[in-house]
Amino acid sequence: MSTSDLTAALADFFSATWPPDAAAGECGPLSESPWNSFRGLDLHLVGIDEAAGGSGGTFADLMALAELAGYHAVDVPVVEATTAAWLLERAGLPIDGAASHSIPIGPTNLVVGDDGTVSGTLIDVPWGASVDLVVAVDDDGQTVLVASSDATTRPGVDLAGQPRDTLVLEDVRPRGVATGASAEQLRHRAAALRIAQTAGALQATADLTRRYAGERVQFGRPIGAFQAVQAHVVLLEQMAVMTTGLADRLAIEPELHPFDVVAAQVVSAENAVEACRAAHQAHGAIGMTREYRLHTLTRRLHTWSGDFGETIDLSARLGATASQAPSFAQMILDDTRPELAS
Amino acid sequence: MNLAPTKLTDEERNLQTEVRAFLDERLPPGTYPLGLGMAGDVDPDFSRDLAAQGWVGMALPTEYGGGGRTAVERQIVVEELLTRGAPIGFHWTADRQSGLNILHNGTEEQRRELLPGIARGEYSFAIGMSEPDAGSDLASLRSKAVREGNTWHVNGTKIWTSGAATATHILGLFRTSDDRHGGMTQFIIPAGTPGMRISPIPFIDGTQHFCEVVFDDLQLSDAARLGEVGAGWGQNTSELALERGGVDRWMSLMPILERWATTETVRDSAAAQIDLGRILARLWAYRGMSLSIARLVDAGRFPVVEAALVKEMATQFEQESLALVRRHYGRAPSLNSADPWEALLAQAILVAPSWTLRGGTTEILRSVISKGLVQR
Repeated sequence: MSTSDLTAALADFFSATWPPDAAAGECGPLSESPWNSFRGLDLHLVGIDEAAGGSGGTFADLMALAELAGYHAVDVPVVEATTAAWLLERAGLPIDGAASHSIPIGPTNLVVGDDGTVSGTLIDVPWGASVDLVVAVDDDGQTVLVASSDATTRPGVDLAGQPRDTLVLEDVRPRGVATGASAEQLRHRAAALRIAQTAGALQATADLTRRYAGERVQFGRPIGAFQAVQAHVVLLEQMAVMTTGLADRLAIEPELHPFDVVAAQVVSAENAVEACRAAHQAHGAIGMTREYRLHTLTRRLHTWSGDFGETIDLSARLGATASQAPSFAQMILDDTRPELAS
Repeated sequence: MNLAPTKLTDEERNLQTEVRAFLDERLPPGTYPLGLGMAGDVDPDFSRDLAAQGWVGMALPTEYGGGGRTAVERQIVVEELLTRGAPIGFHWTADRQSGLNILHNGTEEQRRELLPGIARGEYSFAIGMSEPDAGSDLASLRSKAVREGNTWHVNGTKIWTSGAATATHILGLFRTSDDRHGGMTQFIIPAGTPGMRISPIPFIDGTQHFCEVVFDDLQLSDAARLGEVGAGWGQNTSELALERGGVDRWMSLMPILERWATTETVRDSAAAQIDLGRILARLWAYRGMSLSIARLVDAGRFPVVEAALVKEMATQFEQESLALVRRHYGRAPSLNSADPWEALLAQAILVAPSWTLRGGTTEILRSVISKGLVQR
């Protein structure tokens, strides 16, 4: 786990609210989740200046929070709410600390008309139907704040059973429109937080599997004594250490570099998929059942692997960039990042 | 287990720039045989020229002629050498591990005699560890050193000893008693010592760096002993940790990737770009981990498990990357091609299985990591 002060201070709250040995049920709307406790500690506004109505704390603190949320498989929109608040801050729009916020993960086609109303579809908004407000970037690159109650919602769920709704807006009066972060900056920030969340879930998966391999007896000895099972445990540790390292690397940068985020996304998503396979293999049939903890983590990992860019598109961008660069090795060894091919 | 992120300082970045400028001048493309990582060509002249810049024996203290530099600084130099497939074969082993082993375990006399020569790029070490009946299981070594007064009589056979035919010294591990782990001792044997027969074993790609070394009543004075009698196992284990940690373990393919990235094959193929991007992302991630490990070494830590953890997956990924390049190449490349890059690709295809063997097989490393996890 990260050694951030924030992490240490919150360890008890997270363990009590989301016990690490419990198998999660399916998520419902936000009102049925521990959102109010989460918001009660002002965690939904970490990384936002107090002057802008946030809770303060650095981006590194927020990354640590996302990692912790991943480790505990929390069922509230941590990444989405904090990214929404950041979008509002960047656009200079007021942040209502009492409200819950989300952002769309999927494509949007939002247009602000001449009359000032907003129309379009927001696809895959986590808890979209049960949050108060949704923040998105429209086709002209403006930050748009809308109330979910003004939208027609089509309920959906992600692979982990968490709400991921679609919102249809027809001539809706927005709660705010202003110029702020670009869609690309939004994706990079959210992707970085998703990597931290993935790292946390990978740590939890590695811990759970190591413990299970030490306890479960087959053929007269713990399965962890078999080299073939050890290989799975080792791979899980590798995926967890590596992905945590990627998240930490992004967290210490004063600003996110597109190259770094995209490279980290590719690796993190691949690691998640590899880890899910190994964890289930080591667990045998028990890991495939919903009364056991593992699915809570692996279903989230599978969901997050495709968020904010699929690895095939991201790899293609990196590859196109490398094919034009003066040196392949220097892209790895230098701190000056090349512009990414689009 | 946690690998803290780290970045290069301005001074470190300057060193990188200096090394690149030197290599641009000293090794223009086409003037040297391209090598695959640490299996680069043996070129004593190049080793001496590199040493003259202060870039051999960097980790050794200045009082013994070394650079007194950090592990991170050494990694910076190594990265540039590996990227170009530089002819590093002559000084490689001495630079990476034998020098430090002598520094930590040698007598003052040994340090004064050997370390300056290593730092000048004049001494080349080969490691006599493996034997025909003991591969990864060093505890079952059988080659013996038997003491008679002040003289040791050495008998036995070492095998898979890289660079022995061109080395100025062999650093060998020999059984000095029947105690499984406590009965082994290291000795430094100068090339040309009577009683030693070195025969190259043709490697799978036709090269001759791999050797068999037979000792037939070779006699050594006790001054050739490195460390205490019976301390060889521990010394050797520490050496293996040095062997595993660095980027040299997973940068073998770089000269191939460096060129492949900008070939027409890649420029014209969306599929190849996807594979290239994937390779780039993952190598970028491994590099960050190796740098973190180097910082741990500089902080006085001994990150044995971390090093094994990175080496195990990075070397496997190297092989996977080669398979991807090969798939886009479209036909079997030839070892005898007039195009040096094609010949190098052919060589890589043949030798790639060794990448997950040398310095500890995948299976042995997993066991090291697994035990490390239990202890934490």
